Amino acid sequence: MKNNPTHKDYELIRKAIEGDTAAFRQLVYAHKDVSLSLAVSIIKDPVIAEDILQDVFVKVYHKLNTFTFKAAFTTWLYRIVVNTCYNELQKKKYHISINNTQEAYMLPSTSDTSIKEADQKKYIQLALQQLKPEESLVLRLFYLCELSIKEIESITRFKTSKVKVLLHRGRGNIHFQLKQLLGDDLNYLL
Amino acid sequence: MKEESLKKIMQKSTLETSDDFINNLMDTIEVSKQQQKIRFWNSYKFTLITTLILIIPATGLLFRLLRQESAVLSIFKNIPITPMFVAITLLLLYMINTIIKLQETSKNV
Repeated sequence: MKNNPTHKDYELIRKAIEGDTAAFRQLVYAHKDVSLSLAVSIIKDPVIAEDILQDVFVKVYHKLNTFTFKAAFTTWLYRIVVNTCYNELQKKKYHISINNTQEAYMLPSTSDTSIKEADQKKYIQLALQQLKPEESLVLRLFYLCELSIKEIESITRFKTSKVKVLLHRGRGNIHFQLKQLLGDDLNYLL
Repeated sequence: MKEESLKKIMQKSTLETSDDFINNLMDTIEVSKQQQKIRFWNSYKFTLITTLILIIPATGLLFRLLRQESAVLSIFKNIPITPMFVAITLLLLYMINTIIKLQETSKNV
């Protein structure tokens, strides 16, 4: 029971509330990458997403004493990430050119017989970039964070039917995008 | 695409933050903590000075007026002391509560 990530988080949160900054560091370290991935789903630009994530964690630090310990910390955190990203998107009206992201990821040629692990990641990122923010967000919450539809609902405030539709479309679209990018080499990813 | 394959692919979709992400974050938090302290002190300072500015002349005026004999002031003299005492105590408690609430809100911002 003690090794459960939720209990670990609870312990770190309690320490952080008491003023232990090392505990807060650990908490951030454990969740920063997945949080960034979720932010990128919405914002699309990793640099802007990281800036927003800084604001998210500052907010989390100051609001930590309002955490109720009734649900998983990740559910609470991801909800803040999603809300902040959508708010920023509305406020600043980012215009992200998807075409530029292809250059940013510097895609390797797919002529090699196998695609290296790092390159695989780049192709997956690029494929996810082409999806609608809501689709890639729901896909990441479901498959990367391994959350249930109920949890996704509470984070995104989407209805169950919308989550299911987005998942269905997302699955189809990611397959299509990867197929477009990799062609027959897609099999190396599977 | 099979569920398992998709799951495998999505597991590879994690992005990594820059190396100095946590250090920058902790610096930002330190700065925001300092700003918050200053912000609270400023609001408290404003409340304190305003209250003093209002209370000192009011007390002086009241003291001066109470020493004078007039028909208007005799109305005040006829007010029973106990209900006045209760009302003033409640008002004071309410003000203290407001200040504590302000402090708590400032902590949570």
